[in-house]
Amino acid sequence: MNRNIRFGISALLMTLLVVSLVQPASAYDAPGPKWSGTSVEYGWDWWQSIPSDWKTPIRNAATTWNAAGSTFRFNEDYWTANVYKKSYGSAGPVARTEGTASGNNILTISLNFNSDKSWTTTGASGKHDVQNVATHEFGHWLVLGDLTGSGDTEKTMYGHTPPSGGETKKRTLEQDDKDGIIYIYGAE
Amino acid sequence: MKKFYISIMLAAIVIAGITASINIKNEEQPENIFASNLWSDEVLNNSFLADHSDSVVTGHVIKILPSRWNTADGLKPISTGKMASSKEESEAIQKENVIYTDVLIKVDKKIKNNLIPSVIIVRTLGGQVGEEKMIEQDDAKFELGENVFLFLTKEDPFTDNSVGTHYRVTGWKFGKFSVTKDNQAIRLDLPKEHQKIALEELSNSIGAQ
Repeated sequence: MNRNIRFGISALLMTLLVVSLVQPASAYDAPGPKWSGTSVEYGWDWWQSIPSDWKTPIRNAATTWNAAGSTFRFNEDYWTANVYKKSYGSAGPVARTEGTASGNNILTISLNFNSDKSWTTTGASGKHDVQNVATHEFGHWLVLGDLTGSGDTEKTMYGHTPPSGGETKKRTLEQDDKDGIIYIYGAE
Repeated sequence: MKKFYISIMLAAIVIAGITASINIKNEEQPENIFASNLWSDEVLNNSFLADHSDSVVTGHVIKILPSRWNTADGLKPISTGKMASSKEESEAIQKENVIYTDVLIKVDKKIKNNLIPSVIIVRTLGGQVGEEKMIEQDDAKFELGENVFLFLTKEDPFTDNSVGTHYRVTGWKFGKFSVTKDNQAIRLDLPKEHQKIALEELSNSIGAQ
């Protein structure tokens, strides 16, 4: 009888152990790929497609997300080159985030500003503001999706920007943007 | 008691095997591409789309070709690990690796540019080659037999189109409408006010160009 009990207990413990290995314990299940760690490096294209006066606005965008209350951090890295300015055509997107993933883990990511659009670092009208756009795109780096609802227009992750340019409201995060990143990566 | 320890050891070996197989499975998972874009609202303006288009047509989908990588042989790019020695080489290395899918369209009506061929290739981002996938939420999607209204451009930032063999949809998903039997032009994946327009009104809105 004792032997049967021991076998029963060991089988139960082993089953629990196997289940805990296969199903990672987490309070949520964010769909799609995400970072396996809690930081990502960003850096300038080594052939300097990014103008030098854009670097501070892009750093500010990273700092904005770093202060959002989650554990996730953007770190500038000299040896990383994943921020570019390249052509997507005048009717193409203002900016584009592209990445690769294996299973649910993001492997690489890049931020690409469309060189066929007009740009400003001061929020001047008629041009797209670098920090405004970078803050939105860094949200995509964190796997936040585009919002398109009429109630989402004030949020950083709203997926459109006015043709007249001059928009700067995406520079600052709304509570919903912060909640998204905390939901995915946890509060600090 | 001896049997108890043996059973523990056997269970540990089985668990180690399961763990190793899970890790191997993770390592072998294919590499997929994902992308997101920020758009200026100008792509919701049909006159803007027409102004930036080489051609505007109505037509229907007659064939969807197998997806390919944007490499010379259409196969998965292999990283050489080579450092660029010039700006041109750097740009070539940085060129985004994408999977694209060509769609053959039979043109039914030429609204802008009467010289466009009667059958055209429209190149879209996204697709699957082997186990690798590219998911491009913002490019136009087509179904076999679908009737469409298209704003078209020969500009292609992702694949070589120096001899103009194919078109891309101007403004990506914003430049493609599905046409229903009752002649409504529809784009479902957009704010409600931009989802539906009568085909005649759409044609008239861009003017005779």
